[in-house]
Amino acid sequence: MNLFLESGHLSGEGLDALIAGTLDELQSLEAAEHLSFCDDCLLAYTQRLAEDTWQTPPASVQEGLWNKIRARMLRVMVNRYAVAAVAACLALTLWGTGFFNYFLPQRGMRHIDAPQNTMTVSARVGSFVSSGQQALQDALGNLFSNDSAK
Amino acid sequence: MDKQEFSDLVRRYERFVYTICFQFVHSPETAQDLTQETFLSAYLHRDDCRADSYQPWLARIAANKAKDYLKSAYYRRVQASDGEEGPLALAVDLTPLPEQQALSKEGAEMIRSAVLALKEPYYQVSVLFFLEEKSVEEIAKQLSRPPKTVHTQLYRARQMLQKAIKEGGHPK
Repeated sequence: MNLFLESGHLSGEGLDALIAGTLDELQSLEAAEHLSFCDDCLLAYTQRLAEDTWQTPPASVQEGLWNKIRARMLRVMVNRYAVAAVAACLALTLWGTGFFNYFLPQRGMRHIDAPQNTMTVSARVGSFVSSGQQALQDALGNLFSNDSAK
Repeated sequence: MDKQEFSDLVRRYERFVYTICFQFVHSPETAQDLTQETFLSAYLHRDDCRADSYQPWLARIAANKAKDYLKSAYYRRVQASDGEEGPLALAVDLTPLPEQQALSKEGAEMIRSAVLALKEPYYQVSVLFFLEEKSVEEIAKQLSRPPKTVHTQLYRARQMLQKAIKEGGHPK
C-alpha cells in the first residue's frame, strides 16, 4: 500500500487505511505530520469522516475538560503576574539604588546625587532596604497610634 | 465565544475529534486524553477560528496532538533500539566527503541509488538535500512543508538510507 502519492500528498488508499485504523506506527506518524500542514489532504480526510462513522469515547470529554481549562488559565495568570511582579521589584530596586541616575544628562542632577555615586552597589542596596524598612515601620506606627487614639 | 457556546461546540464535535485521535493512536484511553487536549487548545485559541470552519480547524488541532504523541513514542522506541550508536552518530557517516566521492564512486552511486529508491514522504526531501545539496529552508519553501517537518523527514530518511546501505539493499 502506498500511503503517499508521488506528489507528496496522501493517497486515497492511504486515507482509507487511516480511517480503517490499519496503518502501523510510522505510517500513522507520517500521516499525522502531513495532515498537520496540508489543507487539501485535511479537507479530503474530514470529508471522508461521515457523521455516522464517528466513534463514542469511553467517557464524555466535558467532565474533566473544564477542570483542565481552569487549571491552565490559573497557571497562565500566575505566570503573567509573577513576571510583572519580578519586573516591578527589579525596577524599584534599580531606582532606589540610584542606578538610573547614571543615565541622566549632566545638568546639575548628578551634582545633587554626587555623594551617593561614591557608594558601592551593595551599600546602595542596603541603604535602600533600610530606608524602605524605616518607612514601613513609620507607617505601621502611625496606623496603630491612630487606631489606639480612636 | 462564551462558555456555553464552547460547551455546545464540544458536545457537537466530541465524537468527531475522538474518532480522529483514535484512528491515529489506536488506544481508547490515549485517544480520550488527546481529545481533551484538543479541546483545551481549541478553548485557548477559540477566537482564531471562524464559525463555519470549526470542523477542519478541530481536525487540524487533533492531528497535531496525535502527531506530537506519536513522535514522542516513536523516538523513544527508536532510541531504545539503537543502543550505543544513536541515529545521529550513524547519520554523520552517511554523507560522503567530497574527497571521498572521488575515491569511492561506487559508494556515492550506492547512496544515490538508495536515495532514488526512497518512497514519499522521504523521496523529494532526500533528493533535494542529499543529491541537489539544497538547504532545509529551500526545501521547505519548494515543497510547501514546514522546516521542522523537513528536518524530521531527513532524520528518518538518513536512518533508512544508513540501514539500507549497511544491508546492501534498498530502503523500505
